[in-house]
Amino acid sequence: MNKHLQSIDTYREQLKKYFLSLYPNTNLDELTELVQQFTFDKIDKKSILLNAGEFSDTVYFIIEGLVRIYYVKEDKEITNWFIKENMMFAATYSILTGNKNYSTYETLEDTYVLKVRYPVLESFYTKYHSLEHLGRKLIEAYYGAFMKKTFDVLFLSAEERYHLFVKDQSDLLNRVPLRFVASFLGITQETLSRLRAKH
Amino acid sequence: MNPNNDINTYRTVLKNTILLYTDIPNNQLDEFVNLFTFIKFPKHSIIISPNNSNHKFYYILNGLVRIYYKAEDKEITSDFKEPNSFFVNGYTLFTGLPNIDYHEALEDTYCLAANYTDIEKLSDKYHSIEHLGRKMVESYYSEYLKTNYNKLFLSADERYEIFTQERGQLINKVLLRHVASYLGIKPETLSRLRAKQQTTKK
Repeated sequence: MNKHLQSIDTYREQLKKYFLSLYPNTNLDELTELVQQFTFDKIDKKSILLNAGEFSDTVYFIIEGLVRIYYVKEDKEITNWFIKENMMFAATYSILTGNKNYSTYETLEDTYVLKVRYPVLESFYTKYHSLEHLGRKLIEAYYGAFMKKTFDVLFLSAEERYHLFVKDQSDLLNRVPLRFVASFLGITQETLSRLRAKH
Repeated sequence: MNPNNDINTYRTVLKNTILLYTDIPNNQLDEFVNLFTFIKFPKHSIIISPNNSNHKFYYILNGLVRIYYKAEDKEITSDFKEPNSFFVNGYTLFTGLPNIDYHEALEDTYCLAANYTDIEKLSDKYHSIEHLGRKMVESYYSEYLKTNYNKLFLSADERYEIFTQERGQLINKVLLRHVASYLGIKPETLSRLRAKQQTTKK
C-alpha cells in the first residue's frame, strides 16, 4: 500500500471532489481553505478508532481502506455500517446529542484518512456561505442514508436486502468477513451462504 | 385559533420559534416568514402521503400531526408533531426517493406553509437563512438519532418513562395504540405500564 502513498495535496483534491459531488456550486477558494484544515492519518488494520462509551467530535474522510461500525447488544455484535474510500464517517450521535457514542469503529484494512474536528468544520460553515450550504448537504445526505437503511430493514426481505448489497457494494463481499456481512443484513450466516449459492 | 387574527400575528409566532435556533437580522427574518401562508387541515385529513408527496415546509400553530408508515397492513407511528414544531417530507428531499410515510392531522390543525424551493432560494440569498437551515436539519437529525438509540438500548419501561416525562400531555390526546406503536410495544404492554404507574402514584 505504501508504494502508492501520495502527497497530502493529492488527498485534499480527492476530498474536494467528494465535497463537490455533494454540492457542485461550492466556492472553490473557500473549499480549498476548508480542505487545508484536514490532516492525514494512517490507521493499521484491526485497530479500534473509537470505542462505545467515549465522546468524539472527529470527522473522517477515507482515502483508502475500510471501517466497520458496530454496536453490542445482548453480547452480540451488530454491524450497522461499512465505510470505505470516498466516504465520510463520524460519531454523529455523539457530536449532535452531546452523549457518549454507542458504536465501536474498527478498521478492517490499513486505512488512510483525512480528519478534522467538527467545531473546525462548523467555524468554516459560519465563515463562508457556500460552505454552510455544503455542511447542510452533508448532514442531509447522512440523515437520508440513515432513514433509508431503517426503511430497508422494515420493508425488504432478507433476499432483497442481499441483492441491494450486491448491487451497491459487491466489492465488499471480498473485503469483509461474511459473518459481518450477515449481521449487517440482519440474517444468519447460514442464510447468507444459501443466498450466495443460489445467485 | 382566532380566525380574526391577522396573518402577521402568526408570522410573529413563527419568528419567535426561529429565533430559538439562531439570530437572524430582522429584515431577512421578515423575508423568510413572508414566504409562509396560513392553511387549515381538518381533523383526520392526510397532509402528506406516498401518493400525495408535496414539497412544502410546515410550521404548526395549533393542532396535532401524527407521522406513520404502513408495514404489513399495520400502521406504525414514528412521531407526533405538536404546536411550534416543523414538518416536511424529509425522506424524499434528502434521498430523492419516493415518500414512504403519512402525515395525518389528528385534530383540526392550523399551519403556516411555504414552498421548499422558495426557502432554498432564500437560503442562497442570505447566509443567515442557510445557517438556520443547517441548524434545523442537525436538530431534527439529533432527535431522530436519540429515538433510534432509545429503541435499540432502552427497555419498554424506560421508553414509556421518557415519553411520560417529555410528552406526557399526549397520552390524553392520541389513541393508545398509536402511542404503543410509537414506543415499539404492544398495546397490552402499554396498558400494563400505565396501570403500574397509576399504582405507584397512589
